[in-house]
Amino acid sequence: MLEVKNVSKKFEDFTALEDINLQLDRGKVYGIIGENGAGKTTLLQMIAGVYTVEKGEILLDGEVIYDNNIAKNKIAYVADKNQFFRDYTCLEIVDFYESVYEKFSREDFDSYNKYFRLDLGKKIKQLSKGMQMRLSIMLNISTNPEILILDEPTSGLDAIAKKDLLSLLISQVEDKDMTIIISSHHIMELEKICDEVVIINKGKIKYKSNIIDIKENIKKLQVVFEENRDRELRELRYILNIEKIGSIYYLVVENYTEQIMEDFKKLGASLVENVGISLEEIFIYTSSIESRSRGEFNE
Amino acid sequence: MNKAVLKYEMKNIKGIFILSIFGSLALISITNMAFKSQFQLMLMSGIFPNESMVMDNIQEIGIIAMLGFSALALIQVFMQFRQEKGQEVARFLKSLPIKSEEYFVTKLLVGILSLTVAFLVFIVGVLLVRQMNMFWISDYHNFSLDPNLFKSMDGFYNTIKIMLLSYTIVLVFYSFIFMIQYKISNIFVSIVSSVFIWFAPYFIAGVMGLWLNEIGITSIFKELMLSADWIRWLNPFIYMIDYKHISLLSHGSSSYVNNIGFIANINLKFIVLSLMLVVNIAMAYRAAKKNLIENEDKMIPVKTDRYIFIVGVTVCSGLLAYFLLAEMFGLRFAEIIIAILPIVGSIAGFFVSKKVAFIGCK
Repeated sequence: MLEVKNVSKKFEDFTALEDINLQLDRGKVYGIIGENGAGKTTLLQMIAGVYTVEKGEILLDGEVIYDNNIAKNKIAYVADKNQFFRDYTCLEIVDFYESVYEKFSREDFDSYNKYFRLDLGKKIKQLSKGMQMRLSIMLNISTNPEILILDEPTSGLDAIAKKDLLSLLISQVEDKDMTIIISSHHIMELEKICDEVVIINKGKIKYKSNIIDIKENIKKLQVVFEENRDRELRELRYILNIEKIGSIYYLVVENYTEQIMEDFKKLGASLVENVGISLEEIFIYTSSIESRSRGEFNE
Repeated sequence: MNKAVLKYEMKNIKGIFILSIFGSLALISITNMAFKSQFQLMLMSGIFPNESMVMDNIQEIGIIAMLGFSALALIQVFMQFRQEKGQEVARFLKSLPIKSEEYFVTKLLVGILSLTVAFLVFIVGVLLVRQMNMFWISDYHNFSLDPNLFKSMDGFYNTIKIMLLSYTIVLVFYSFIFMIQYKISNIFVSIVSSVFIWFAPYFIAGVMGLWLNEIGITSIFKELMLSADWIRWLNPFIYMIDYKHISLLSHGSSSYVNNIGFIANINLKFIVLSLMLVVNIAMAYRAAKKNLIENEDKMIPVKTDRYIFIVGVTVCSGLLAYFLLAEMFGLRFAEIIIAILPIVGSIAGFFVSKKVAFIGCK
């Protein structure tokens, strides 16, 4: 089990992460969502043992990860930019991984390469960004880690490779009881594979829950009022976003309960309907609420 | 030692290692030519007694080897660090289950081993060349004023000592630039700085003495600066040209004094060099252990090092302004200008060094 306890990270005066608390169980896929500069990569790199943990602690099975070979042998990290050693061929880097990671399996690597079809005789510097990402993913999955960290793994991958990657990740969780932590800007992809989602905003955890619970908490409602209720709606603190098309209001509300439906009915709503909300919309509305006032109109 | 890291490090220096071996072979060939030309000179011009034939050659070859291998050491350090000074590779390496100390030890050992093997080839080659020429050199010694003295001077033991001194100096130089790599983040700045820092103590002491003398300051400090005896200890490169002389009085119709030079205080120099080596490695180890990826954008990660850098550059640039204008180009200035020159140079050096030292710091 991976535990992130009260972790904060500062770079000089800039606070990248503030009081992060997470508990990640085995055999689940966790999605990390956040705007650019929200602190996702910093968090992932701290978990991978790249950055030191000055405040709080990050433990894998009760052991500190930073500078700990035993813990790091259980973690594999696919960075957003994978440079490796530019003069190495793919085969040489496979040898390198084999010597570094105790549980590296060349058979696994070869079987993954049937999906990703890399020319292993090529030098790494000759590979495109997408090819380098494929290589990094194959290498890291072949280490048979307990925790697989993927930072923007789909960037640079074509549609087929993306689909192959996602199905490969799901099979790893099922077959090897692997925990996967994945950050991506393609939230629709995360929605397909993640058990739980962590939304980070300005270095703080905004939401951490499974997708169903988040969707139970945040809803998009279509409401029709007999009269103009702009002023009254603006005053309701649980409304994250208001869109108005004629007399129809599309309201995104958080901390959803039946009481909210009652409130709207009291304001004279003739129709209140749950229209469904995607994870991407949740991310957009919860992130953008920080940069504008609640209940601001989008007409 | 991790096999993967070992392979990686060996791959990094493969090219420079081959170059070092070629360098050794070239030096052996130069030594051979030097002995050959001495032999030809003897055949053509006859015998000049009281010459230490081997030492004359070996001491010069030792200096060439020291300078040549030091240049190779610089390139070797560049090859060893160029990849991991890049942000992505540094992060990649940090994410692997290999401790910083393991990298450090492997890198250092591979670097030392590469230089040692190349030097070993050179030493063995030089000893063979010497041995091949000893048949006529021994005869030559018999004509000397003190044959035993010359035989021992040109002996195997002394030859090895000179070669080892040259090797130890190169090793100290290598460990020094290696250590600076952990102190300054940018590979080019660190290599250039390490060369300047290497010469800085000798330069400061030497030029400070000249400057104080020029402006007529009489003080204990000036006396200290002008007594050159201790200054030669400040740079190991000087050790190879710091000779003591044995005077021999030749008897005969026209008596004359013959000076034979041999490297002074050689045993003490070995002790000083060993201490320098230990200090460099210890400092590098400490810096490698404390090295954080978080500091990769900072030119000089440690605060204290930043201030040492600023003070060093400030002092050196002040003295450099005086040295270049007044000593090297020989321009004549009034005493007051001479006194002010280092101050002007220092101000410029201070601002430049401050800018460089604080790159990446907010």
